[in-house]
Formats: sequence, C-alpha cells, structure tokens
Amino acid sequence: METEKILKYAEGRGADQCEVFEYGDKEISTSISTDGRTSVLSTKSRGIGIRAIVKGREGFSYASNIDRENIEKTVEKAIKIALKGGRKLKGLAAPEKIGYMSGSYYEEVDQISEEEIFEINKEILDEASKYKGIGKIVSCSNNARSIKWKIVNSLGLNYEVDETHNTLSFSTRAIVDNRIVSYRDSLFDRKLIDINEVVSKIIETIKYAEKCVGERKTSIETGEYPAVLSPRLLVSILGRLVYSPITAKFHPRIIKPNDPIGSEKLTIIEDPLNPKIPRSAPIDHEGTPTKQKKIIENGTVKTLLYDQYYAEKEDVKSTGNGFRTPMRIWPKLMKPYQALPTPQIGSVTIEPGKADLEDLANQVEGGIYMDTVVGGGADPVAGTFAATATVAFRIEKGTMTKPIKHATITGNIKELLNITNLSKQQKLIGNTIAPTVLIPKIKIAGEK
Amino acid sequence: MEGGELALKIAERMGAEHVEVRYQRLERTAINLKGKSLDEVLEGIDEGIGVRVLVDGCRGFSYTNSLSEGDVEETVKRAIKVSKIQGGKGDVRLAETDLAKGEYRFGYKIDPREVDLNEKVSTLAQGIENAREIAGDKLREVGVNYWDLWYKTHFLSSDGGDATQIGARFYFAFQVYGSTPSGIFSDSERFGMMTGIENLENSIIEVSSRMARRVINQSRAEKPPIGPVTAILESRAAGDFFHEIGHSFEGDGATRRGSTFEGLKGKRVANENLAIYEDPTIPNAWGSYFFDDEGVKPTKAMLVERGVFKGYVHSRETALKLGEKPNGHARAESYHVEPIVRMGNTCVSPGDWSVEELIAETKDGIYMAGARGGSTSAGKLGFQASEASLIKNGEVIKPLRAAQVSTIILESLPNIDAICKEANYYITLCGKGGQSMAATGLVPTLRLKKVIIGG
Repeated sequence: METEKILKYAEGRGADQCEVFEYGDKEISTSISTDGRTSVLSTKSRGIGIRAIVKGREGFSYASNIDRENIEKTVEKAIKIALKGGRKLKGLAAPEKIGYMSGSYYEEVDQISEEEIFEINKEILDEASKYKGIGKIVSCSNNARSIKWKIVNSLGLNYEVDETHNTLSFSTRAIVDNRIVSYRDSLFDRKLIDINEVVSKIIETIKYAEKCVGERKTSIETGEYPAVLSPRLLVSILGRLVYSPITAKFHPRIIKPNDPIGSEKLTIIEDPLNPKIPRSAPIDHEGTPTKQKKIIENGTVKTLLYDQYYAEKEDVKSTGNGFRTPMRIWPKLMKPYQALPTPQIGSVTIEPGKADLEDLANQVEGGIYMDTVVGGGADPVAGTFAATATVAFRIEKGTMTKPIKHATITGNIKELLNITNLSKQQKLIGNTIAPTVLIPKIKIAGEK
Repeated sequence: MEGGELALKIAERMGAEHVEVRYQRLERTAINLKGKSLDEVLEGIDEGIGVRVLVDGCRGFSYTNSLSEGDVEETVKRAIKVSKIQGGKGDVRLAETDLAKGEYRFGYKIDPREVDLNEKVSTLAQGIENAREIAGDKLREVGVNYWDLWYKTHFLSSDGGDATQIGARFYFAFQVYGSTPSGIFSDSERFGMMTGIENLENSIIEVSSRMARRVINQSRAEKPPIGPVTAILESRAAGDFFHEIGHSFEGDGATRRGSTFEGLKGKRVANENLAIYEDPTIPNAWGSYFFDDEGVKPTKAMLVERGVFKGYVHSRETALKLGEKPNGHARAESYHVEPIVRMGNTCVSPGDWSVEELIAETKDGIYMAGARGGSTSAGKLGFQASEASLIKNGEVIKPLRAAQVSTIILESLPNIDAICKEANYYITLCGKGGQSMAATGLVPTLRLKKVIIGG
C-alpha cells in the first residue's frame, strides 16, 4: 500500500493528520575466530509505524507485516489510541528545507554479497594473525548494513533517506603466565573500510593488550588521584550524566541552557551531517531538518534537545532530535518503525585539545589512567557516577606503569567534567567522537 | 506453523544437515506515564520466522518478517548460502538430546491484549498516587514505564523438535526523584511477572510502596564510605551479584581460553556452604521457559555444589564441546537473532542464618539492599545496590546512599561466609551479545567478608 494511500485511508477513518514511517534494512554479518569458528547471517526486514492525530491527541501503532489488511488495522489502532486519550499533540512536522549531506550511502556496501563480506573478514584475520607476540587477534566481525527509511505526513512532508554502514569489530587477547587481558575495539564507516586500516588498528590493539598484561598487577590505596580518562570512559560518563538530562524529555530539568556543566575546555558539538558518525542524517525520524549545533560550549550548556512533541509543549522549535530508538521495551531488538520519536542526542563530536596522548600522562606525578569499566552506576539527577575498572594503570612520574588489579572510580559531574587538558587524538565511541582527557582529582576506591 | 513447515522442507531439500525454524508473534503495549501526564503509548505486532541451518559443520542464519511463500523461500536460501560460503570446514556439532514436542502454556488469567488501554493507565496511575501518598514531600517526581507482551513461539527442527509455547508477561519500572536537604537524587524500582495482568494491580501497589519507603530512607541517607568493607547483600542485591557471576558459568565463554573457571572443574572455588544452580523450570518465574530456542527442555543444572565447581549451562553445541549434557540454555531474544547461551533463573541454595542473626554477628559492615543492575568482564564484576545501611557492633545504625559494589569473582566466592534461609526474586532484563533476556536471581541474603564499595 503506497504511503499516500495510507494517509488518505487514515484521513477517511477520522485522523486529522497522519504520519507514515516506512523502514527497511538489509544486513550481512560475518564473524571468524582464530580457533576456526565462523558465523554468518544475512537478513532483511521491513515495517511501518503509523502516527495519527485526532482532535489534538496522538496515537501510534506499528506492524511488521505490511500487507494492505495489516496496514489498515494498524492505522485504525493508531486512531483508536488517539481517541482514547493519547498524549496531546496539535501537529506533525511541516516540510522545511533540509541540509545537504553526502557520503552516507555507498552502493559498494549496499550491493556487497555475503561471499565478499566473508572474504574481507577472512583476509583481515589472516593478515592480523601474522603478528607475532604474546598478544594475538582472537576474532573479527564484519557487518554491512543498508537502511532505507521514508517519512511522509499529511502536511506534505515526504523525505527518503538511504544509509549504509560498515562496522569492523575485533577482539584481541594477551596471555602471560595466568594473566589474561582481552581487549575489544571497532571501526565504523559508511563505505567499505580499508583492510590495511583495520589490520593496523588490530595490531595497535594487540600491542595495547600486551602492555596491559605485561606486568604484574598492582593494588591501589583508596584516595583521591589525578586521572587520565580514555575516550571510552569519557563517553560512558557523558552518556549517563549529560546525554539524557540534556533532552527536553528529562524531568526534573537539572540541566538548562546557560548552566555551567564542565570546565571551559569542554565543547560538545552535535554534528548530524558528518557521515563518519552513526545516527547522522539530514533529518530526524519525524522529518525535522537536523543541523550542526554546539550543545555545550566552553563548559556551558547552549541548548536542550527537542523533538516535535516536546517542542510544541514548550512552545519552541524542534531541534531535529526526534529519533526512534526503542529504549525501554522488551524485546529490545526492535526496529525504529516500532517506536515513537523521542528527543535523543544524535551524532556528537567533543572538540579535541592540542596535547599528545603522552603529554597528558606527563602532567601527572602520581595518578591513574582509566580505560574500560564494568557495572557503571550513575544518578543523572544527583550527578554521580561510579564504576569498576577492568583496564586501568598507575601513572608514576609522568609515565603509565603497572596495570591496577582492582579499583572503582567514583565521582560527581563537577569533578568528572573538570577537564584540564584534552588530547588531539580522537576516537569514535558509539555515536561520539571523543578525545582522551585529564582531570585533576577523582576518588578511587582501592583494595586498601 | 506460519511458514515454518515450508522453511523446513526447503532447507532439507537444499541439503542442510540440520535445520531449526522459529516462528514468533509478539503483541505488545507500552505506556509511559510521568506523574499525571501520559508521555508515550504504543501498541503493535511483530511477527516473523528465524531460520538457522547447519551445512558441513557451518551455521547460517536469516530471518524475515514477511511470511509470504516467496520471502520464506528466499530467507531459507540466504541461510543456506551463508552457511556454505564458510568453506564447509566448520566444527559445529550438536549434542543429542530430547527435544520438546507439543504445546506448552504459561498460566495466565487475564490476557493483556483483552484489557482496555485506559484501564492499564488507570492502574499505573494508582501506583503513582500511592507512592506520593507514602513518600509525601520527599518525592519530587514519579513516573512509570510499563509494557506487556503476549507471545507465541513455535519451534520446528529437522531432528524432530516441534513445540509451541504461549505466554504473557508484564514489566514496569518506577522512576522517582527524591529530595534531600542538599539536593535531589534519582532512583528506580523494576518488577516483572510471567503472567497475565491479573497480578498487575497488586504488584503496582506493592512495588510503588517499596519504592516510596526507600525514597524516605534515601532522603536522609549519608554517603557510604569507599574502599574495602564487609557487606551483607540483601536477597535482591545478592541476586544481582550472582546473576553477574552467572555469566562466568555460560558454556560459550568457557569454550574460549581464559574463562573465569577454566581448569577448575571438580575443584573447590567457594566455602562448603555454597551451592549455585540454574533452574528455568520454576513455574511462572520471570526467567522460566518450557523449551529453549533450540527446542531443548531445560533441566536444573548444578554449577557449584558444596563449594566445588561442577559445570556450565549450555547450548547443544557447547555441551558437546565441553563434554557435558545439554541443559536447555540457548536463548534468543526474538526471531531476529540466533540463540546464545544464557541464564534463566540463577539460584543459591538457602543456608541456616536469619537476617537478624547475620546483622547481629557483623561487627563492622554495610547492609546493601536492592539492585539497579551491573555487568561483568575479565573476571570482575560491578553492580549498584539501591540502598545501604551502616552496621556497627551488630546493629544497623544509619541509612547510606546507593553504592557501587565491585569484586573479583574468584576472590569473592570464598569470601561468602554466611547464607540466610529466605530469598526474594531479583528481576532483570540481562544484556549479552546485543540481546536482552528475561532472567532472575533467587538468592538468599548473604555475607561477603570483603568487597570494594564505591560511592
């Protein structure tokens, strides 16, 4: 059933406005381990999400089976929810001029075959396996995904987006005596990632695992230390303490425009037209144009993030942050068409500094470097964060020395974002490109 | 089965040595209520089949949510194709086992699909009102996220598996913000049941009351000390703790070098008082199922008995690899994904202490209750208890704020020196390999001589 016909059907059934979100994806994923294990999957899915507005109330429903009968039932269900008193919404997004974005779709990814993806994966593993040391590559996965989505509504909005994603993930391990360190990492691009780039990244990661395992672990005393935080840990902290509270959906409103939230060194930019970051797109999932904006500038909050619903509620304009990522429903592996848009952060860049990675440690007489953690507990309202380190090192006289056996980081947002220096090197973690940072003081719960 | 028999026939005709087809229909409602304001409502249906094949020792997987004959055939062909491109030198073999047959139903009285949306909203609103009444001005804001699900899974395999399980479940999580003299804090309490919504109203009242009482306690709580302490983990906190440890008993991890219990089978890893087992057959428990996603009926699996490590939980593949019996622990979140080795209900056998005795026999320590979830990696684990209390000379003397607990697994097990008699369910949606799965912990309150507490 064509989208225009769905809109007409909805209007015929009593909807004042209707929105159709059509979604389809195709995915090939291969995984190969050095012990001979392989797994490959190749899938396709599609579905439709319908939003209806009746008398200023919103109703939403979705269906994976998109034959005519099911679509009509889905429309009727959305109208029924609106009539039963869905949330208040006067209108959907009107069409606007959208920004130009290139480099988000590559036919080479869309059209790649299962055989080719598998062969690339195999070649990467073979090349990385040539590295001789106490560390080695354990497994590598190659994922190619193409997504096509379309948003159409009764106000004349009609956009279609084609995306491709290539993600290479790998696991490395180093073993000395009974000490084992496993370290995982990944690379993302919209086009096929160069094999040499992946291999050199894997070898860099193996060497890091070797460094982590190379010396006997040391214990650390409970106390306050200067700390260098990896991009991974920084993004984990921001994800818990900033990314959610900065959306208009979050209540109580603990973060507001013009609030100081970190040191002057911290600037966070949402960069939706940068195809190198996942979730970048010229429009959000309800058709509002996205644009580059500073979310935090020199430590001060510049804007909250809105979708259409929250923008209408507060009589402001949507910032183009209405994304359909199912957040709280199980099974979690839902597709975007199965969710309403809600305000969420998009693709993000944290402005880098000028320091080399080594320079950050050089500024620390006695402290720690924290990389990966487990069990992060955070209270975004109180602004507190605590997590158990899985990879952490002591820094002694400006140099990273022994790995730490057991330590828990604990702190509040003021301490954690009191960044005094940032590296010029950045790394993509999830939907954020982030540097390594230095903070002057953090509490560590140690073994003594 | 809708498309299942067809998929099975096509795959066998194309030369697959083993075929599994999972049909699923998932009908759900989700409601998000913030105070008195309805923030999100949706209803929808997801239906499709997942096809997994084995050709020359290599697996292939595909799924479709279009059940037309043409799309089912294309899905099977894709699964066969991706198994063949691996070169036919795979080492995947499956342990022989009895597969489930017939229809299994989780008992439920009220089908969530039959209940009016407004009625569900009104029940949730009662919980919000109840929390406000109990906590008064200590409660700044309260909201509840709710979903219910009716599902049907039909499993078919080329070696005789042919079973259906039908059930309903509901889940909700209260999210609250409480006031302290120095500011505000957030907290949450989640709950789920593998039943229809006949139990919704009672559980909403019970959980919102528990949540509200905790807000009152937490509003006057002090920051916990940080560093090593003796800890009494209340049953739900202990459930989270053992759920995280349970990941180290999953057979897929154990087939890789460097797993936590590698080389320890038959050896002592804990005091004699500790017995850990996995049991997905507990009637209507949150993590229970009649058959796993390989069609295997689960059995109770002893993991640690009298302090000695006995074995792992398994898929058919990992059981054969590790020379143990399959125990039905290959689970998939939905038809979109392949099953992986997962826990169901992770249990610890009761001891003979009462909670009061345990506190009275603890000179200096921290009592930690409730759990907000955690994670584990590299033999370490961390989780957040929802609240805590300081114990001095055998008495609880003051409430403490929620705290991060962390340990090294192999060092922590021998540190458990006392286990109580009674246990409550810890409910979770556990994440692994990008999939989330309903699981529980049923672990009595217990004492650990040393853990590290973060703020």
